[in-house]
Amino acid sequence: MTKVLYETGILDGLARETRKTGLNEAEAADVVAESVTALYKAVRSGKEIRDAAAFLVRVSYNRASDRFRRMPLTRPLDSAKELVTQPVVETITPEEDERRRALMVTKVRELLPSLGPTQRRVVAYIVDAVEDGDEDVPEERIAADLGLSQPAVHLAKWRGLNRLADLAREAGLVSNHYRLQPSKHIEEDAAATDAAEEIPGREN
Amino acid sequence: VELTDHNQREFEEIIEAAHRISADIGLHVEHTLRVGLQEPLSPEEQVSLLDRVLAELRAACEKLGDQKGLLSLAFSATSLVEKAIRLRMAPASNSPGEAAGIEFLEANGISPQKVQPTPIFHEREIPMMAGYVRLEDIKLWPGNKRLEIHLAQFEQENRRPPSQEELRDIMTDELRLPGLPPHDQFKIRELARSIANNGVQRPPILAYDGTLLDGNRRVTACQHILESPDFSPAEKRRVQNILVWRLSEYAGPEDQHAVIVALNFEPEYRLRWPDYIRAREIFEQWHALILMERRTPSRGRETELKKQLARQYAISPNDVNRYLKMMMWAGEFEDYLTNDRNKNPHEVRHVSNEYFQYFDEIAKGRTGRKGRGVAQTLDENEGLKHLLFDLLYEGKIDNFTWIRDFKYLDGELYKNLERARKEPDVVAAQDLVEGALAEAKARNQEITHGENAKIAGFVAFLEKLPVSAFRDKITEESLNGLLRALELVREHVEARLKEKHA
Repeated sequence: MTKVLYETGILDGLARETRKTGLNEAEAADVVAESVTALYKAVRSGKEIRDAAAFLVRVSYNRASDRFRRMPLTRPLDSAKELVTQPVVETITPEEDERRRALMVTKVRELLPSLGPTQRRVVAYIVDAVEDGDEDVPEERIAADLGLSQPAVHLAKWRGLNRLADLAREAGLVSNHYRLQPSKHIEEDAAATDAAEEIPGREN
Repeated sequence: VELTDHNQREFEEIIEAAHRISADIGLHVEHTLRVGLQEPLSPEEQVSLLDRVLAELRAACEKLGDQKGLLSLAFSATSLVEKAIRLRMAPASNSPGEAAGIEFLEANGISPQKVQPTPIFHEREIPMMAGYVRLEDIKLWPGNKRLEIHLAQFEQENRRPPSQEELRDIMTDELRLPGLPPHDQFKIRELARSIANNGVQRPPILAYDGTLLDGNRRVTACQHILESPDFSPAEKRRVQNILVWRLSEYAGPEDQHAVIVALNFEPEYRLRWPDYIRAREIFEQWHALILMERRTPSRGRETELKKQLARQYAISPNDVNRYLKMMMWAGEFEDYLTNDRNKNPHEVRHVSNEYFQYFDEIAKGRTGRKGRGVAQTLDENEGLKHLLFDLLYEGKIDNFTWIRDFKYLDGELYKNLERARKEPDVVAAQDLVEGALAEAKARNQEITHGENAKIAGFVAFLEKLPVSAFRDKITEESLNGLLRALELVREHVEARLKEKHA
């Protein structure tokens, strides 16, 4: 497997792209290694992987983001005369992190009834996957499992997550300035889908 | 719930994660693949990344108890990193692009022409052109699996790939690599003499870009004729231009593969790739097939995959099985000597190559159809296994049939083999091993077949035993056992004697 991945150049691409997120060379290598291992484990556990490259890209992006989330905050020392930064070590134990995540997942679920039926089904499906630690949930799979079309899933997910963010903001569960930031092509896709009138499962 | 910054960040992260893990990333995947091909990492970064990936995979395999995966990684790790170095650091002279300019000549009244009828390799019609080329224009193919270990070893020692001249010296044995057997491994001199006498009987085959797919030995032998004083001017003249077959520009990797398989796996009277090299190829392909499976294959599916592999390489499914078993043992052998004994991996692989058939003998007898086999004995005794590997590595097992007698393991045999391991003189050690195994076999036969001798010995022992021993020395438990045994045999003995005297 590694041989094939190496020969396609995907490992180089992943390393380069991961570094662009701000991680250093060693951290990027860690992320790539973890992603390949996740692929191995997924294949071994019998999970259906339709596109190994997509799996790796998704997982590496996820892992890189996760690393950022866990990085200690840094701030300038008030007393420092020079521009020196000193890490403010926030020691979060894995148990504490897990407990906090479980708590917030519960809060997310409490907000789900405020979403439309299709949005609720799609977002609930994805939240379940987040909780299970599943890092590769392509829209095709959601569509097949929920009996929806992929465009319907795409739209319901995007709108559902945005609605969830709005509700969370109102409830003070996220900061006031928090907005879900889509990547450019996702925005374009959503805009294109918005333009279409007859989308099965469309709600808003 | 206390709405701290931490909790807010966690909530935001859940939404972000939900978005990420289900995002439509088709364009991103394409972009990543393109970046990988257009902006490859530097060789140092490549090696470092591959090391990291393989280490992580190895840890995962260990955690999951995936022995096959571990073994596969043990084989692929070194070659993959070496390949990364070779591919990225190879000078332009080794790249196919430069060889693309190879030109046909008109010689001996023959101009370039289609090979007709279209030749068939491994059930595949492959159009080719035949014509003469200058010998000096042909580049030996470093990608030839036959040379894989040699090249990797050379690169490890010299931190660069060998030049064409060095490649030729490796093949002619003029450049000695540690661990190589002390004989002309590729038999170039014999072949050169044959070519000088009979010409090149079968044209070497080149890819369109000039890569020498088949005929490394023939081309090397021709070069040897040109340079060696042992050949006459007429003989040298005859090999200055040689007839080759060249694939068309439309031939793909499958065609090249078919040529390689047909000429190295199909039965034929020529020096084929050594079994070890063929088995390594099969072993790697097998693991690639297994990894492509969505779930751990059932026994039936494994049989199907083995048949598929057998068809692909024109060998029988039994050969696939045999190669896989042998490679498992070769893998253990290499792993032990490299990791536990700190031997150079390339030297170890040369020994594996040289003694590869011995692993066939070792692999026998795990099922125990004919009683306890060698494999089972070694599996149950790690110390004996390592002892055997050490003896094999040091050339102290002179004959593969000796392996069969390792199943007669007892304390005495182990002690004697230990002595052989410590013996610095290889020939003396071989004698020790042979003697130890013969004695162990005899002891075993005595145990299982020497009834008369044993009974005679026991009777003599009893007759000599003073009566007081029954009172003072022999325990009650022994007395009971003796009585039970005597009563048990008495009936049989009397019936048999009566029968004989009737």
